[in-house]
Amino acid sequence: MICAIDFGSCWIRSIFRNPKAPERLSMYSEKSEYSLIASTEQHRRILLEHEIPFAECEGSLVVVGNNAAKAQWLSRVPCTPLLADGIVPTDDPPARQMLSVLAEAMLPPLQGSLNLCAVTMPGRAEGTEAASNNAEFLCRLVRMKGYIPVVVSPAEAALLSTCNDATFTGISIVMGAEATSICVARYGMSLAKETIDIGSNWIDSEIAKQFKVQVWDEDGNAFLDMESVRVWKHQANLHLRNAVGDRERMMSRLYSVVLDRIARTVSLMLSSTSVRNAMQRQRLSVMLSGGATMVDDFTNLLTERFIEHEIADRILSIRSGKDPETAVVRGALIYGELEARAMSVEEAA
Amino acid sequence: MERLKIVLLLAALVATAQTLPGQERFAPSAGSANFIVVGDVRNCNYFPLSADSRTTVRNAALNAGLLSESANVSVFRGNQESARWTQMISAHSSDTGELVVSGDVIVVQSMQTIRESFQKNAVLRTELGGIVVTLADEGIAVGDVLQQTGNIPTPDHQLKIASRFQGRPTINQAALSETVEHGDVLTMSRVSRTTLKGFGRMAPAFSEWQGSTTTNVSPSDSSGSAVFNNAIPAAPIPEATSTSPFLQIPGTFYAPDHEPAEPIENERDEFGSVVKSESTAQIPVQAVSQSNATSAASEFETAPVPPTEIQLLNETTPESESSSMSFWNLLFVGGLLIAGTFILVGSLRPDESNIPGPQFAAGQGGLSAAFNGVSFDQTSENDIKLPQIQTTNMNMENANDLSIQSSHLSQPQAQPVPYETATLAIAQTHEWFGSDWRSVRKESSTSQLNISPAPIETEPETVKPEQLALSAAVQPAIIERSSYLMETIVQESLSIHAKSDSSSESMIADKMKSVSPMMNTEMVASDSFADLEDLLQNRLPVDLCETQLPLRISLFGRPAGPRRLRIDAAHSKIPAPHMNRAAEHSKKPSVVASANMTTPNEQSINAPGSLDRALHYLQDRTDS
Repeated sequence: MICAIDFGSCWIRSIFRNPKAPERLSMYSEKSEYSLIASTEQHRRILLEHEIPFAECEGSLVVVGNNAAKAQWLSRVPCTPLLADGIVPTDDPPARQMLSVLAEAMLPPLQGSLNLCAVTMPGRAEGTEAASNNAEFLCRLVRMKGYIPVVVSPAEAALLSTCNDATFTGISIVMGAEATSICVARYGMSLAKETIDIGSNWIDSEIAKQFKVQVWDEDGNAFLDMESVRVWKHQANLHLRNAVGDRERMMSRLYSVVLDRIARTVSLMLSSTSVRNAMQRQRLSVMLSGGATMVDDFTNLLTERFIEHEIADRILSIRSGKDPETAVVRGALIYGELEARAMSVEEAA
Repeated sequence: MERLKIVLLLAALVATAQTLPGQERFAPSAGSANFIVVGDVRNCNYFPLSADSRTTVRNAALNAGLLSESANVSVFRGNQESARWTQMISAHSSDTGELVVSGDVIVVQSMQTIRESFQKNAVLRTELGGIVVTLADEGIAVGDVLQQTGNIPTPDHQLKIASRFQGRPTINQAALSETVEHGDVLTMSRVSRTTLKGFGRMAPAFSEWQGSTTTNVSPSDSSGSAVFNNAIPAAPIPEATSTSPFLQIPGTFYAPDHEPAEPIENERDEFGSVVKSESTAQIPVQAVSQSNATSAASEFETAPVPPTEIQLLNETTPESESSSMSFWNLLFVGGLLIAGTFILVGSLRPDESNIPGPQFAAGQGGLSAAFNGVSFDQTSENDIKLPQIQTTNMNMENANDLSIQSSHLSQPQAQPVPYETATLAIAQTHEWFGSDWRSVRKESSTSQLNISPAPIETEPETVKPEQLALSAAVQPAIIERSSYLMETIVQESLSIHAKSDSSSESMIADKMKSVSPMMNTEMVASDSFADLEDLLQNRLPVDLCETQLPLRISLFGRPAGPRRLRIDAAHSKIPAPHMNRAAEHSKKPSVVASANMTTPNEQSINAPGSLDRALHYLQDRTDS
């Protein structure tokens, strides 16, 4: 069985071929957050009556994944991310156990002799301590299920799923919740890759802080209401280059800041030795993935940033992949299948 | 002659039409001090504030009659778009002392399963106040509620469902066809994109009436009705109203203080006829006065009589209607007659509907339309609707068993001689720079996931002979292109792996080369790499499955909670104000001054709660 799992800071997705119908893919998608609910008999009874899966911790009840939204009306505090700041929490034991429960439920049962799972890590640049801790913990979860984990970066994975018609050559940018992953590849081989520790959560939190989008719990503690900002972003038909109103203008400015960093990083990557030697002055396609790229006029704003950084002449096209939210996990599955074929060839050799 | 009949019929209808006060805006409780309690309560209604305005939220909910042991109470206050705070109450809970303010909408949600029967209800909040809506059946649409309350939204209005039960998500831009469910709080407000009015209100809200989705109930079916309660003082309702509460016509809309019982019946019939004539509103939404609700709920508690200002408002309603409508009706009838005359004159002219212009255009546009439909893979699926085009695609795929994505055939200018433009231009066919790909991103996830060719419905009766001929001419060329493109893709993938240097890549290339003799278009489907090709091309449909989590598990440890999102800790208890007003008139040393004389240690020791804090600290240490 070959499968892939994408541990994202906002969503955790897994995908695999349906064992009974290999021409179809099966996907699990769960929000990587949990909701805290008061541990009273009434709340427990309500959850049981509504058949909402929950966990009992010290002092509170916890509802994880997509069910957190269903039970959020029972709580006054916002949902807690399982991978806060793109890091597997070390001070939140229930969150680590919930990650284990989700991985157990989302990975398919083993089948055949070769069971491989391509894993993408949340946030954090490779080589950092946080990234290695993430990889160690999450790979262990995959191993506990019986799979051989293969780590792939989100940008490389997205490249495989979206750049087929560009012969897997170009620049893949995945803007996630906590980090932005960039990869320059030629014929599927990564020449340079980089991760920026900034994503859409930073934009949302800045908007929430600026406009005081808050919720209060019973004790009067104030929390940022990030979910409201997300809902607003998705429902308000926002345009980054034609912003109307203070909030839209601020969001446009924040996106500009992020895209400026992305453009600067791309500029540095294009000027690196490996890319210059391999690509010469070849013009490259830019493929966008990740939920944060689904805002209108994202491509135009990125184009402006490329022009400012004087790399527009190196860009052939900027486009958003089909279904940018699932591009990473689909690409990870492709990576896993390629790895499986390579391993079988090795064994045969 | 048919048109003339229609015109005359319309004119007769309008001439006999009278003012429908039920469609006039209902101005509830203007200037009065009352509040609304809805949700899981026995008596959902308006309640006047007590004279001293000391009604607490808990008492208000309890007075309305809880349907379960405990309930969660949300309070919508003023122009706030969402409940700023909630409170869990029960018969035994302590009263927090939170007072009800005039205009509050209190939504009570039961925390347990409700065993007894109750009347489903919702509330509509407008700029003029709230209106309680009683839902007699499922399927009541937002449009029904708005129509019957006379709150027809304009493009300046934004309609949202600000609160729903059971954790259902709120809707910032609710369509008129959206079903109103028990406990919903509908909010209709004006939108201004230049001012800050909270999230979700930045886009102009303009939703269209889609009554066709709510046409399951026949107009005569009184079960599918919404009943509007209000706090207008109980009008003298005839005896018959108590037997059929949902068919009564209210004092609210018709000012029964001034109308006898019979006119009420007549107007009700007219109202019903207008409802029927509205083809978009199939569900008869009728109204009763608040007295119905009070009579229904009389066994529990009768709603208090609201203030008299509301009565005055209602009394003025029929006069203004009767004085204003007669002239406009006549004017409208006159206009209709003039229009009918023009239509009649026009009908005497030769019928020009068979002029060959449009037909000619459709026939000539067949080829370009076919190519447009085939080419724009990045546009939404709604754009590709030409049946003959889809037939072409299907035939091609059936013929070759190759699901080449239409995006590879996507040069609109690519005419049936395609080889030159299709070669090596797979990426270049999508060339653009900074163009707007909004339509790509707006595709729904399901439509994006189901890339495989969907079942295609052909409509041969709609295909013109010219289009069939053109499609037959185009089809071989497309098939040729698809096979050529497939070969190109295979060659390129081989070249990709041949050019790489790493060991793994070379192994893959070796594998591919070993397979390459088989990689022709006849054997692609049987090869394992063909599966990978499908995956690479994003052709495999994705089934979203539901994760099966254990219903109840135990986890070790204490969850951290959303500490990262916390921006402001709760304030400690604020001491009472130290205002010595006597100090202004005497020269005695003030309390503040005397407090300044004490040492900080003494202050901390004497401060209220310091002992508690110390005890808690010791307790924590003992526990740890």
